[in-house]
Amino acid sequence: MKKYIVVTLAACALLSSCEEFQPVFTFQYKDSENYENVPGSNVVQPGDITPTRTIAELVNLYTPGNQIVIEDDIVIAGRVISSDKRGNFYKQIFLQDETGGIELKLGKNSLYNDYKPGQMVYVKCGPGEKTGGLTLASYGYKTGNYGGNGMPQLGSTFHPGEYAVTYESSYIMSDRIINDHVFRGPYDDIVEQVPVVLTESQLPNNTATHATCPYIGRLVTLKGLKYANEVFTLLYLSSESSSKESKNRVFLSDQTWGIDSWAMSKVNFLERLRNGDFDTATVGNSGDNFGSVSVANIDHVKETDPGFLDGMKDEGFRRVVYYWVYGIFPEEEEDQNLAEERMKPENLQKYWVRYCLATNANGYSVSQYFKMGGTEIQLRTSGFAKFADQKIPQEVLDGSKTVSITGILTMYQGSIQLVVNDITDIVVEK
Amino acid sequence: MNKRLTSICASLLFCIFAFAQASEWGGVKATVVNRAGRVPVPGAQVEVHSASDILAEASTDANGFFLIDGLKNGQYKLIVKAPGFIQGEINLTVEGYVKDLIFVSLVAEQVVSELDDSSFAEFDMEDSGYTDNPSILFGANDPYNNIVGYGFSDVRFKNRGYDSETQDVLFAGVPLNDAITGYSPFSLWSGLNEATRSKENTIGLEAHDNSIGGYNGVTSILGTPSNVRPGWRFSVLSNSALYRLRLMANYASGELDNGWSYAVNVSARLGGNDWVQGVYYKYLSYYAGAEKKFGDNSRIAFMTFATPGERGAQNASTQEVYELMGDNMYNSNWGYQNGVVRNARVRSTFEPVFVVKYSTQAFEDMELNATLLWRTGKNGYSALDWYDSADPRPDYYRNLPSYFYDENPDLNRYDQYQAAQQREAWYFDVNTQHLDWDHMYNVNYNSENGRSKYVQQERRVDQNDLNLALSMKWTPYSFFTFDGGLNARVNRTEYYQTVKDLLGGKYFVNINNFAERDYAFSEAKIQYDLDYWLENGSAQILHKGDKYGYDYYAQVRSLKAWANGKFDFGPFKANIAGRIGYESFWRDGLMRNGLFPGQQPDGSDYIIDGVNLTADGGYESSYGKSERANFLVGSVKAGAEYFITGGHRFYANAGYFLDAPKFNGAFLSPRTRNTLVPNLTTAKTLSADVNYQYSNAGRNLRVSAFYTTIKDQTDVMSFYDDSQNSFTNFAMAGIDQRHMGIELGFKFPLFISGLTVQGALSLGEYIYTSTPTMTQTIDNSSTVVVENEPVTYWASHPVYKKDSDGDYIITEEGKYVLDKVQKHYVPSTPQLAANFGLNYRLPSYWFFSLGVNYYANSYLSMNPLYRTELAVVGPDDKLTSISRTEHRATWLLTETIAQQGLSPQEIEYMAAQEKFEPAFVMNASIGKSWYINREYQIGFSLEMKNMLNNTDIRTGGYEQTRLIKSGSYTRYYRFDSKYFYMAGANYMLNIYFRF
Repeated sequence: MKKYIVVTLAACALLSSCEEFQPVFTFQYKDSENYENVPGSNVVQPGDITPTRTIAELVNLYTPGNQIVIEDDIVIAGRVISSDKRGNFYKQIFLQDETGGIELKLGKNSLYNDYKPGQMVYVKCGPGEKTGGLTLASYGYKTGNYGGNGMPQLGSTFHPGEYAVTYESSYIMSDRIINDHVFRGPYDDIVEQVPVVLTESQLPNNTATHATCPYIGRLVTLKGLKYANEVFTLLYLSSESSSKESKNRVFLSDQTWGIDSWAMSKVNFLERLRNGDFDTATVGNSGDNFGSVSVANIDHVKETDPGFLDGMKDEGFRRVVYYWVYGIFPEEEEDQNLAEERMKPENLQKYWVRYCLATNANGYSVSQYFKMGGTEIQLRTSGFAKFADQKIPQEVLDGSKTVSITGILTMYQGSIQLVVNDITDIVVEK
Repeated sequence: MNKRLTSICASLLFCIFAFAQASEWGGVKATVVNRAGRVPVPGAQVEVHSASDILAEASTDANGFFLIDGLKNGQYKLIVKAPGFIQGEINLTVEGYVKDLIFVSLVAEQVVSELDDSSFAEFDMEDSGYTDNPSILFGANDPYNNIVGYGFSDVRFKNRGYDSETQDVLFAGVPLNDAITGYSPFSLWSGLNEATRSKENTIGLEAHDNSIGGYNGVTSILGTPSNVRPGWRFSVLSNSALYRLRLMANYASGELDNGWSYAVNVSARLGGNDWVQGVYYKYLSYYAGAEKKFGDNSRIAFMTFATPGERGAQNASTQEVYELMGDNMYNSNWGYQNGVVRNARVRSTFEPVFVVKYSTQAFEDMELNATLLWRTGKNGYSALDWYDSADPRPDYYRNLPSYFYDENPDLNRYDQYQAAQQREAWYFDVNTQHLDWDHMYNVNYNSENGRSKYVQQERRVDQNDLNLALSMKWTPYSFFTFDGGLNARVNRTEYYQTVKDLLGGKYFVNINNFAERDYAFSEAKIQYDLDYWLENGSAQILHKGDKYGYDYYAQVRSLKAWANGKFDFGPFKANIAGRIGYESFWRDGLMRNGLFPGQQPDGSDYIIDGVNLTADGGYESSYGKSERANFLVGSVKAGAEYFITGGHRFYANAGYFLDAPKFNGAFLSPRTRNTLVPNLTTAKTLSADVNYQYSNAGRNLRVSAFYTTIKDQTDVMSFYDDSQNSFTNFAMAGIDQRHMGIELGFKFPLFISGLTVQGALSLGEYIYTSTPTMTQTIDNSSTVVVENEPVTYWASHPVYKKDSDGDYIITEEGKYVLDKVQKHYVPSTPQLAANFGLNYRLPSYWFFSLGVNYYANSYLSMNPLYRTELAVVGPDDKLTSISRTEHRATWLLTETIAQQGLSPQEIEYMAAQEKFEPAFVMNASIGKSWYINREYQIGFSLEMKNMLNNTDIRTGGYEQTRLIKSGSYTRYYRFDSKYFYMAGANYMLNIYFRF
């Protein structure tokens, strides 16, 4: 009897010592506050990596329109000056040193969690241990009288597709590439970046480069900016690939269109679209087959969407548009005569373009324009910014007061843009 | 030769003499032996039954012998019971003399009974709708159920294709299917195999003494201490497919002289397994009961049991991920923390159940039972949550090579370079392969003010379930028995979410991350708890253990009465049964969500900073009581059976059922609002089966055929949609199904003593037969994405003819030619499952078994969105009303319709249902037991499953719910489906000790 008990107990002991009890942690983890602070991946100490070029020296390797894959062992270092915490930057960080700034296209969200403003970042631009060199490129370079330089950036090589819009570089999304090229300085070495206050004469012209203007891509403050009574946004009638065709585009520009906020959220934008605030905007231009017509006009649909009129014969489809326009389904209307009248194709089809813009357009980024003396400055804001829909003070709108804006100075087709980290970077001057 | 002739003549003379002496009275005698070894079984209880009456009783002597005489000629049932053996039943015909049966052999309880099905029934697929329940339980002497109940559990076999909620599960007479989901609640007593071993089962439409049941059988666990096998029992179980170790101890006193019975059962389930990393168990289970018998007629029993503990869960992944890892058992739920595996998805439960049961023999012919059962406690399931930070899940689709490159140019993914880099990362970088806990902690440590960006949340489903069951058994006549009862239930289940771990941060904030992105202009709108915000002027700061996100009660009430009349006319038996009742449920919101605040107590809207929150939320409310959904439910069923001498039984059943929808399938988005699914109604089920059973001299056979239609079901499927950073809900109404098929089970002894052959076959067709409607909502948005859209291709989709070159044939009229209509099937179970095996038992108590299972016709669970025309046509949605109507009516497809987006290729691509490859699985087992001094028993059993180590067998999965717009914006593509696989070769070793 005893030996059977011994055998049983021995078997228990054998089984309970099995090795998977070790890797699988089945009891309580340490309390958070007691868990040692792990340093995070790709954090380096000063001296671990030595920069070999300044940002300006790197950018000067680029010639407009000719992106290059860096094959040399080039390392730059810069402090982070952007933050996507408030949603006005998207999948990018900006680094600056005393010679200029550059955009690093990291295809990730919420980068501010890993790259703190003021933190040092080292970029191995050439081939890394595991991956090839990064691509030095520019966003927004355009030739011609109305063109000019864009914003220098480091990204991955762009691979054009059949339907994609072509860029000079693409986002670096693979962690393997990021980890091979981008290294963070220690968190206890964060140095607040003081913006450079610029005068109008220090602003870049449309052909400026880092060699001629050390402020491109850097954190700057522009004072005395006056509201220019003008906004800009671009909407697409159809989300098809023909986004560069003018017949597919609606520009909101040259006036304010009643937009009086620093940035406009998607919800608010759609509401205004539904209300017909943009009905007088122009679809396409005079060079298109249908000529230049307004949003409220449907003459162009035979060109842009031949099946549209057929679609409007579909009661189910009209019902969807009806709901979008009136916020209620026709059968739910108290006045069914009214619903019937509204449901007629000829009465509903005038909302077609509004509906298309709402369902297809992805441009909710409305920019406001300001003037610094005689120089036009575009304030770039995103519809996804957390300060979207905050109103511009009336005294700024009516020109009785100016503003001071701190942001990153960027270039787009030779024009000057200012991108703020937060709404608090805009100060109404007394 | 002369001797043989003499013997024959003597026999003939004896028969003639016996016939001449025939009388009206006779009897039976035999020696009861253990079938394995013909060892006599002393002390066995022998009963002679006629209908429900016991006419005679006897016990076997030390040599196993018994004799019962004085029986009138006729047909009886001889029942032989002995501890440690399966009860034996023999049809007995008395014909004027004492019949000598020579031997009545009893079968020792099978070794598999130690390997309870619940041991293997704890996989986790909660978010995919899977429930962690075994398909069916053992049925005594039914070869089909014995094989299927346990043997097919590795593919999560659903008997007859029915969901688990269709099986009635009773504990101590109380129907205990979950009040919210209907799921059978086996997890409440997992690990308590001894305490719950005594059970009664019916299959299919058969009624039970404590419940008339539905159409998928009844499992009634007796549960009282006097029903637990007396004695001490200890066992150690180890397996490599689920958890490493189970330790179990059990003591039951049996009924003592003073009328008391006690029983205690405790067990621990611990450790991980060989196949799925990150899955682990840390459970304690306990059962304790005491029962007192008063006089000869009454008993009262008190029981409590629970299974406190936790386990790490497994997750499904896409085939791309499995291939990158080279492992179909990959689990994306875990990562290393300080070198130790940590699972983010942990289910932790402690749901104690308290039961008191009173039963009495009120009259000689009437037995009454009353049971009060209360289930309470917590049920939590953790998950990662994050605010304003990157998705931490390793298999997030943007982390996969396919996100960068695909051969199909229409997907617009051209970056082979980054695809290659990401592939390398999956091969070699542990932080790409698994959760990167260190990164999450690092982000939280360095976050401004210590605000956690990543937390571990716990989704809680805490039940308070009070049940009362009254039943009676009345036998006014020997041929008639009446069973009846009343069941009442009050259930209040709280659904909420808590902060389980701040992961190195100091606090979290109770705001709606996704709503913040869309409604930045309204701080009120992004509040999960608007009342808190209004009262305090800021969002609630959350610490460990705080509730956030949502909080509501599911309130369920039900009252049902049932009756079953049973007629017994010897070989002919019949019953007719009915149930009628009332079910009601409603939602009671406890947290006012800023997106759906409803109206203020004074009836005015919530207008804050110029934004009318009430109107924007469509006047739907997250707070307070919803409309009450009330349903009259009921069922009728009838059955008849006929015995023929020799062990033949023919029986048939039919029933009609009106079942209320369950709470979890009745609200559009229960986490956020009180809105009920449109067109909510009772499901109507019509079911019938016919059966033949043969049981004689160790030969068992059953053949059944069944036919069932289920109409008007509703269902709400919730999936986490990472594009919305929120749950998206598909509410479907009008789902009809048809289940038909045959079942075969057999077990026969072979020419060598102790060798038996057994087999089972389940061949069915379980299909969808209707076009339901679908409404899609997102938890974090008031927008109804799709409303009442017909799911055109849910039940089937058209397949059009192709020529020899593979091109679709188009007639001169421009029509495609319909080839066939492809049915869609009820998923997640093989519709063809078969088993064939050999068992061999030696007199020395060794046993061996070898079996092969074959599974085929298994299908992937369907996502309704992919079965709409909307998904097939594409984002340009050019399909006209006329085309849609024509197509729906007759599957007409013309070139014009195809040009509008409804092409035959795209219908096939989007609507077809994935069928899994058939699979063979080989299993074997070996065991032996030793008796020591006829008092102690020690033994072991070792089962080896999937011996051919096939790791490519898909056991389930689901389609993701998102659509990818093509590069040309003219069509949609699917997201890759996610799958679960069967574990490879694995073992289960059980060592037991009893006395």
